[in-house]
Amino acid sequence: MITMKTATMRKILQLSVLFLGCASLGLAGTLSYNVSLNTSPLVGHAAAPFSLNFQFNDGQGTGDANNTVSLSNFTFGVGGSAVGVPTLVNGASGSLGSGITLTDSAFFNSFTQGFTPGSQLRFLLRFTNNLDSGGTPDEFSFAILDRSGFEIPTLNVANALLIIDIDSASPAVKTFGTDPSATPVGGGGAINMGPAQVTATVPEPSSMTLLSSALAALWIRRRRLA
Amino acid sequence: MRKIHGSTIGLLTVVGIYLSGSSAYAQAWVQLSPTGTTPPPVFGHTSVYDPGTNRMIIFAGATGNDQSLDQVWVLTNANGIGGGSAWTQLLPTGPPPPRRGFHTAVYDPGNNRMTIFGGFHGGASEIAFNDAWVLTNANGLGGTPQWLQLSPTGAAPNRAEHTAIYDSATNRMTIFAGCSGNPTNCGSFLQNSIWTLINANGLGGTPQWVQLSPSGAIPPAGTLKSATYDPASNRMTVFGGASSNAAYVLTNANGLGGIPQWIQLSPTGSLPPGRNSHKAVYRAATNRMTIFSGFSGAQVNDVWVLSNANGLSGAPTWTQILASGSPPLGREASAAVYDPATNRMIVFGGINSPNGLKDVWVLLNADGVVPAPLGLVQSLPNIGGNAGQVTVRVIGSGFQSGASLKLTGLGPDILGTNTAVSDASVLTTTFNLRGVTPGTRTVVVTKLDDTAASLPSGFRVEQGGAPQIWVDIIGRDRVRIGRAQTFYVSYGNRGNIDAAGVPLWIQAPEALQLTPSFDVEPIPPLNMNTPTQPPNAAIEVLALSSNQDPSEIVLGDQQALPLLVRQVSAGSSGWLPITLAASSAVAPFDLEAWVNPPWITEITALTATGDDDAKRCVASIIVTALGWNIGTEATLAVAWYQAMQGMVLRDLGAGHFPVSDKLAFFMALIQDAIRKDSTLPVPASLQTAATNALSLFNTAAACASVSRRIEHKKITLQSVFSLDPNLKTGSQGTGVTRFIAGAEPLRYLVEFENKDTATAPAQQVFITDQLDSVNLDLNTFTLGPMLFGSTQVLPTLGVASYATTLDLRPAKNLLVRISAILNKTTGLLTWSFTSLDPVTGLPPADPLAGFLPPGVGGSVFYTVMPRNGASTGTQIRNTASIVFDTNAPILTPEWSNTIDNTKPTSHTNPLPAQSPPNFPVQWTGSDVGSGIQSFNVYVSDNGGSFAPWLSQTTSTQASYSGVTGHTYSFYSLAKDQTGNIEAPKTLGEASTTASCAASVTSSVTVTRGGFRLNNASQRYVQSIVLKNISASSIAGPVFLVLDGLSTSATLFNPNGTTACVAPLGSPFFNVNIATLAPGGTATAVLEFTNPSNQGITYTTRILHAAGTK
Repeated sequence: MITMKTATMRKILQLSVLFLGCASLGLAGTLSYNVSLNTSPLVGHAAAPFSLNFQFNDGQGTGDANNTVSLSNFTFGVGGSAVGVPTLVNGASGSLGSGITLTDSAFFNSFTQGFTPGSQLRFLLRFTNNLDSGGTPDEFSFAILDRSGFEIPTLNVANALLIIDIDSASPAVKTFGTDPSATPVGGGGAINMGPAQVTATVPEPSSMTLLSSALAALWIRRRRLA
Repeated sequence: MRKIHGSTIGLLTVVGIYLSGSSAYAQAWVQLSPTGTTPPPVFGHTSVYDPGTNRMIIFAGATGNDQSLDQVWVLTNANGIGGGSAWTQLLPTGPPPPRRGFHTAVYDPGNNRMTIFGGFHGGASEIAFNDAWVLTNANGLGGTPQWLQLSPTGAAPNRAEHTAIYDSATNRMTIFAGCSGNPTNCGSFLQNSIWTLINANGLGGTPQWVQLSPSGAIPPAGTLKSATYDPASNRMTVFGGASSNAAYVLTNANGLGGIPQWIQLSPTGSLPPGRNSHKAVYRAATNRMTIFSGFSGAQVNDVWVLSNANGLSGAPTWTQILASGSPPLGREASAAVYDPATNRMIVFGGINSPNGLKDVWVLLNADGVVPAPLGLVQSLPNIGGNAGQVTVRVIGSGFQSGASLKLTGLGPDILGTNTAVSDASVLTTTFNLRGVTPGTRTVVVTKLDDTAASLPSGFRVEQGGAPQIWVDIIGRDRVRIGRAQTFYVSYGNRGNIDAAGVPLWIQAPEALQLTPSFDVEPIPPLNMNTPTQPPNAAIEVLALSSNQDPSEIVLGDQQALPLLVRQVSAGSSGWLPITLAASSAVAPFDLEAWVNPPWITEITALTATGDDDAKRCVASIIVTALGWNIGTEATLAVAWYQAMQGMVLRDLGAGHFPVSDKLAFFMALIQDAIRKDSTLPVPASLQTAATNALSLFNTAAACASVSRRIEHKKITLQSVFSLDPNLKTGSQGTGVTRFIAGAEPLRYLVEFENKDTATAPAQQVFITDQLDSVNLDLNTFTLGPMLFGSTQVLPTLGVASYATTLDLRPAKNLLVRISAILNKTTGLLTWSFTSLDPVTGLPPADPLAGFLPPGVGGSVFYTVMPRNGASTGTQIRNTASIVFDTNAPILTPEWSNTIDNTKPTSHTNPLPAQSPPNFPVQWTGSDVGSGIQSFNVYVSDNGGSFAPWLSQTTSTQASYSGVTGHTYSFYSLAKDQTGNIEAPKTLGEASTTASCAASVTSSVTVTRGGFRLNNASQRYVQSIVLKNISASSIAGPVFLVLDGLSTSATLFNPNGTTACVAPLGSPFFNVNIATLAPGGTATAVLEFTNPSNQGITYTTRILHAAGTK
């Protein structure tokens, strides 16, 4: 038998599922993805050493700082590791070891730090999804630079491996494999590396706290209506 | 300066004339058989001849003892040419003169008046008359003839059996010798006095008799002599009387020019038997007197010719003429006249005792000279444009006055007008070629006797064309301080149609004395209602300034001589000698000359649609200022033309004349338009209207050519204390090798001087100049002025050979024989200046008598064309040799020019199919020889005829302002430094349509990606997605326009910037899609350079398909 309490709880559960769905569908908030990239083709490549390059550029152009990208939980797989100190430009901070934060506080915001490729590069990508005015979205992009400081060639015109244009609440994540027909400027043969695997993550505790708050607000509102 | 024009002095042209000795019986007698009632047999009558109508007028005469007539008869076609001859008796009104015989008659063809004087009434005791009568309309044309008795002042002499000559230029009749008694006592009343009747035709004032008092060897008194007159030298030649065969010359025979002097001639050759009652005629062109018949113991019919009959130009020589055909009966007291156009003598009547005669005879080639057979060598120019008229000079032989010229083939014959025979080898005429079909034609010359000669393919008509005026300054590069230095400003027309009213300026520093050594006619007063020919058409140059003193026209520190050249025919050239004198040393300075438009190019049929831009400009500006109908432009253009004809054009644009002059000019044009078209609204204030028009004129860019100096030539001169006086100079040309166009004549000046230090005057000066007969067309050789001291001789324009004798008296008791001749076979050109004793005709015995004193110089000038087809780079080198008396020859430095006979080429660079309304046009050219000077660029609007866009530009690009939707075609014509102009074109070389691409911004959504900096390219990369949200396909190519792009960023590799669809200046990018279907998308990747990493912002537009962005 479904009691009033039971019905209320069911409603709450329905709403919470709806909320979680909304998070994944892009309502303003923070989106979170696990990113995994098989970097074994880079191991021992002549274009080494390599660097990871993350850009988060302001679409509005004014450095409105209305979005933040955080990158954490970097792992490099067997034989891999972070190397050296990062190069931070404008709204970039942190390191591969401690985690990275990129804010569009300037038009151009960039993080670069060397790494030794291992079997698999993994990290957690989180970003807010506030829209910019002016028609051009904020864009997060990820690329690997070779010893020359230039991107290893990919099938993207800017040689990015991953691009996210924050043009909606649920922006598309576009990934690109390397261009098997192009050789890196840093030397060596063409790199045949598939596109990164990107999967959305479940909300973490902090997210559940937000969800609880939302449920509480709904409960209070329900009570008042009742 | 004393100036002697070839057209008014005795001259002998050598080319194309054969003496009778080389062609026996070339003269022939032909008896005419006139129709109509024949005059009665008569002797002691008079005859005069009107060459304009070919009519002989007979008056009075004796029919027997104590029997005489007062009848006037006219014989038409008197020279036997032009149809059958016919007699007509005139019936003048007014009381006729008493009947008479053995009187005299003279004729003024300009006024068609015959003046008769003296004679016997007929009675044995009746003394000779002293009355003078004038018959108006004497040739029977122009109205009813009327007798008017003159009432001269002064003592009128009684005379019969005397002689009379008439000088039409001064309207003076001079009578000589005769009998002052009656027919039976003449022996006691023989006269050798000489009298002149002033205003002899009854016009110009009260007639007056004046007795002259000649010096010299006076001929014996007597009757029945003959007298002929050479108006050019003002000399009368008297022959015979009684049984005399002596010949005398009277100088200053009209009583003007100094004290007359009798000179007895000493002819060579077989002398004719002495005689009286004969007849004599004179041909000025050959200076030959022909005598016929008379009483020489019996009545004879022989014919004799005296060469150099005026005592000048060489020793006189008698030659008997043996004419073919049945000769007339011997006779005396006949009448004879002469037709210079056909060289025919016409004889009527006389007495072959005891019978009076009434027969009419014509002697062909009466002066004993047989012209060369009629033949044509070439036409100069041999090309004319069908945009106007062309005056050509035809070189050939056997030309005679009255000849006509036409072009045949390709449609109707084109008849020449204003045809004139300069001499037997040069004929000029003018063809109106406007609108005639281009192509080759045959040149046909027809003489009065219908003989004709033709020159197949002798002339070609080209499409279009224009005059191309050139200017040059010939002379040395220095002037001697304290001495006048001669320079020649030469001008010509290398174009293919004539120009008229060409403004020409000569300028020099005010510190020097600039003096024209040519006749300048002042401009007539402004009178638009009487666009008549200028008063003296013989003077080629008119003064544009009301004051002919160059020092009165001051331009800063310069003085200017503004002139208007009456006509510059296609292919012709002219020259204006000037002198420059520096009284003290001056800094190096320029002597400059230039021409400035406009000039008339359409003389015979001027319309407002003519090709004179400046003319149309002024007309259209007045129309605009007054709000008149556009059709008024035609009226105003005609007014403009008349203003030019009236020589009132001032230098409107250059500001050299006060505003009041310009206002007067515009006011006159407006007034004239109103007079011509009464329907035009009359402005409330003429001055206000003219002021408005002038204001518009001053600001109208289209009128800029009015004041444009073109063909601006100058030579830089130094003032020096001494120089080599014997020098040859020539065409300046262009560049160090003195390139000159093959279409221009080469100009040469040879200067000579008897040194200051010489101990005696030079008696003879010989100049020889070996012309390059390989590279020069010697048929085009033209003599220019010959100068010595202050005397200048101007040969008839176009002649290649020339001879004359100048009388330097009283200033110097010398004659100077001047001759110039070109041997067209060898190319040797020779001038000679020879001093002669006036009495002996031989070089003076006194070694101190010579025409060229120490320190006095002279010069000779000539032109000659390069041979047709002379290749570019051909060098024409030339040196003259000067010999003073028996001294060694002095060789002048060489003068060389290089021929540029290659037309430049050019083309307009291709244009895109579509262009914005303001689009760039570029052209380029090349030239072999002197190099490119400028371009004319022509434009066609929407397929219309090509019209000038840019003239004489030295740029190779310009922006054209078109109208959206119009298609424009362009071609260029290049001109090289020597004036060669590229061959005409009829088709455009580049075309474009002024249009703007259409905007489809509202039909397309634009989804932008963000930016990533590509570390490799250092360019920000952005992806753009276009989607067609309309229901219709969008035709490609599709262009993404970025408006307002941040200044810190630059779109990499744009396809252009907007220049048609506002806002302009925005970069655009071709999305490269053929069609964007409804709902379809297209992706573009943009890249930006952004070194400062500033924000990149912009807005977008979408343009598509054809048209300029």
